Amino acid sequence: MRAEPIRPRVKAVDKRKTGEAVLPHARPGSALHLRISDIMIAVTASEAGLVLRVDEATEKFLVAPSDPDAAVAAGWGDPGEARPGDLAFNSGGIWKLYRDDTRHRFVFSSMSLGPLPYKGATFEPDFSSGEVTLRRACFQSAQGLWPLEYPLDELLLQGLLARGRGAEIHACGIADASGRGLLFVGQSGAGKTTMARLWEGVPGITVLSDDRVILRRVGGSFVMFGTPWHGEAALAEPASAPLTGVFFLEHGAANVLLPLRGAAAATRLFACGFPPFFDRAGLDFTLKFLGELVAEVPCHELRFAPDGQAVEFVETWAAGA
Amino acid sequence: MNTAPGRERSHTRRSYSKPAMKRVHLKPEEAVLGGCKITSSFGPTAVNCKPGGLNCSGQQS
Repeated sequence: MRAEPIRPRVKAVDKRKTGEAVLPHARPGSALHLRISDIMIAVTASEAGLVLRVDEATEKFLVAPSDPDAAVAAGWGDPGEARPGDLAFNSGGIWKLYRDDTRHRFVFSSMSLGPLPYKGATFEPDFSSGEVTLRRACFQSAQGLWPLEYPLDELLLQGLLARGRGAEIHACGIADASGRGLLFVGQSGAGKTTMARLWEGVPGITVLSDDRVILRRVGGSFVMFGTPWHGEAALAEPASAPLTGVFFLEHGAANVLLPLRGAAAATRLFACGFPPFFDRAGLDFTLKFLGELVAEVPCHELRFAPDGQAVEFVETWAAGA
Repeated sequence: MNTAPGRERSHTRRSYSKPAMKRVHLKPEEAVLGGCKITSSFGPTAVNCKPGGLNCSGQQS
């Protein structure tokens, strides 16, 4: 028997209520303001000829100007080389992190773009402000560009979250028709996109993201937020929901829920997170945060068959949670 | 009826289980945000996501 539906608690950004307006395009010298998981980021083009533009998913997260948690100024210039001795972390991909005194300096380069860095970004220790320097030759400025283009946007959020705000998880986030937040956690290939598509057609639900979800503690409870960083299903919504259950995805022949507690749940959540491996204090906070989360929110391994019954199976559990 | 504190504790004590090491799989290339993710991107990393992307004009190789 299913429980009576409870009042929906999905919190969406209501721009009409707040008087906000989505800015379709920025003009040279203007700024774009993002709100991701209630964290405000302002990006300013510091010179003419730099046209800010965001992709379709990020555009949903644009809001009217307000006091930012992080203010970023972007301009043309030479991202420059950093001193090898200052290297703090090598991602093995397109960016490296250097520490110049206490500031964070990300340097982006790609052999497909040539031997010189195409972008540099320097942030204050708390990520409250920073500058992005773009090598003009690498950008077709007439089309507009986004200085925080992936992965810098996520690196900035990672830094802000790790300073006592929350954590980002590799997961599909669903707010069901009753407003309950269901988090389906897994690395690539675990079934996040499959799960998102199974839920997509269910009336009244909101897919917050099919790939990246931010978790924060709000008013004593854990809340999950959609992000612009979607997966193959391209599902991303600037909405939030109270976290009701965490499910670690495993492919299976039938639908099975296995309870997970304590370290077993926390380590699996950590392994699907994006913690700042180069930041001791940030790592400490992330571990503590995830430990508190698994102590308060029910966690399960979900072995699921890729059919619609998985949705009903989880909903039956959620109704009794 | 009151229960002696010591007896109460004995009822709630969990049975001993031997510590065990369990390996959790981590994918570093995903966890460190090091590579290409969204192919719909329109900036340099979009080029980076495609094999044989163009060099930046003016860069010396």
